[in-house]
Amino acid sequence: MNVVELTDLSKNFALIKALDHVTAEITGNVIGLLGPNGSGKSTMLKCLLGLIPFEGSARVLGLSSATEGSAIRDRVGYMPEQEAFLSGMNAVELCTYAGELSGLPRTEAMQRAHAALYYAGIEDKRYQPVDGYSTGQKQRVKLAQALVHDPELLFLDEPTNGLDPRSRDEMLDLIVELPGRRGCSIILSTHLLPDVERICDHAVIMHQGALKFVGTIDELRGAYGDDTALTVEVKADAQKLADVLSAAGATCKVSSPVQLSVDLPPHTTTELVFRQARAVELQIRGIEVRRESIEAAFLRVIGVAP
Amino acid sequence: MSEIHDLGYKRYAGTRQEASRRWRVIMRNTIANGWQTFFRYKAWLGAAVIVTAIAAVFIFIATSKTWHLGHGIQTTFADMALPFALDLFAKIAFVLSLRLGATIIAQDFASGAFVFYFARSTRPIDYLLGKLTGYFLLVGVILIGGPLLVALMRIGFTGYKDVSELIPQLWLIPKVVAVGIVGTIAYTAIPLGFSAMIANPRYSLGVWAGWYVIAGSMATAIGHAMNLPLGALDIGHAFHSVTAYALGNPIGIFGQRLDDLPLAACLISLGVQSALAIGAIMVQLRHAQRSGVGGST
Repeated sequence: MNVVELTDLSKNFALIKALDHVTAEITGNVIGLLGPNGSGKSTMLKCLLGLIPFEGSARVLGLSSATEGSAIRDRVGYMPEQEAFLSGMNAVELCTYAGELSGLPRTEAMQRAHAALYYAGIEDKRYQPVDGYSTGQKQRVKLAQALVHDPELLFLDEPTNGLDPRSRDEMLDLIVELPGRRGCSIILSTHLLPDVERICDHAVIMHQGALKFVGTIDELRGAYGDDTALTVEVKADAQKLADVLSAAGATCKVSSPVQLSVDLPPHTTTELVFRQARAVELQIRGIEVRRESIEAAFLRVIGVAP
Repeated sequence: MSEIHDLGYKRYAGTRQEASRRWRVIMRNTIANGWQTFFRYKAWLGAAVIVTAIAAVFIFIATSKTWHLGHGIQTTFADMALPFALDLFAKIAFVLSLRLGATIIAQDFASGAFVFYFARSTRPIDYLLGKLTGYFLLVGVILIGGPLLVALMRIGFTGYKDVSELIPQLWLIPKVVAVGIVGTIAYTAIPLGFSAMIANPRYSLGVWAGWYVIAGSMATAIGHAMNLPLGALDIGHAFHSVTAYALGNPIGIFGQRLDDLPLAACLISLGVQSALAIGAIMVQLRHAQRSGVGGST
């Protein structure tokens, strides 16, 4: 089942088109929701959760956002970017309260609060007031409160914001394990593209209210290369191979005596490289499809030159 | 990869409480939050218990002693115990609002709690009902429960020759409950309204105190000068006037006249202020629901 289905989704704020006829079927385990500030990510999230009216159709986990927002929010967990705690509560009280507000009986909510805090790695501090937690600890509690009511889909908004490298690694480890351990999908909204590259299998890119890309990370990075952008490693004399490939219509750039980048002409395959190498009696040690970096792919998709 | 601790996981297969009943969870939390530290609620509940005990002593030992109230009015200590106790209960309710009521919603604004609430299936009406009912119960214990106990003692400690003497006295109970409900609504809704309108807890506290004490006194003074019932805007004054009409005690604890305002003006003032406060809370909650989740739009 698709996690999210959008058909002609539009939302205007006065004269501003926040979402412009967005149509997509979004699926995947960990989905990166990417876009510059003001691209429509927050508006889309509010529409999906049924918090604001919109035009068109949006379905989350098969439920209509327009008419079943409350049921959707029971089945979805949300980890906000900003602090969203209740003053004076400790982590167990907070997560239990969160579970109860999502309809769990008190005993069940309390058991799951302990389990969620344990999973988030904050079990030793769970009886201390959340107000006194460090940034990293607060992020963990935010993850736990989003998990406590057993959601089928998690929205994580900048979950690694403000974390030191070690805490960031730990947070990403926790997130990437969730689909396997909890059976939930994740939509990760972030500006940190390395995070997306590391844990996401799918990406959704938005820009100026329009959907610019939906697909796997490999499709995002590979779309530009289309298997014709290669890095070729030879035993020696890379320049010689570059010369013959250039003569055959390829664009080559020698990066070292044993390595060159090759952009093959249209409608050709790696066979051309092998044929030309054989012709000049050069031994090929390796060929790799050259992929774009995720940053370059992102900039290309939103139409900004890297 | 760092080590992940997992206690084991099983998908929840039980039923979930209906969304329309979840305001009770918020109500329970509001009460628990008030009960958390001594000076939020327990101290003022203790003060109400002391007032009740003193009133009981007065009723018991000075049932028939006469008290000259001034303005040519005299009554018995026992008859004045209830109005005086109500006056003190109202003052306790005001102090409680300074410690708790006027900051309840502002605290949630400050801590970002609306995102916590509205990312779930909580609706603004659930939040409103939960907070209002929770705080109403806390105030009601003092402003309805306290006077009711004093009224019961007033009835109980009076010697009756027969049932026909007792029955007219029983009217005191619905009167006291009605007055208590009016006061509880006002002392619940209005401070909560201030706490919703001003997102900073300190400022909301200050503005509520200013409205109750300074604006109220000014309205009374201007009303006296202009011979208009503007004093009904003074929440304390309006409530004491309602008490005076209901219990038939025209003079207050410090000898001031309590029946100088028309009953209708007092009830309308308290009702309108409470309704405006609830309206303001609802407007703020609807805005918070739309803007909080996912950042502001």
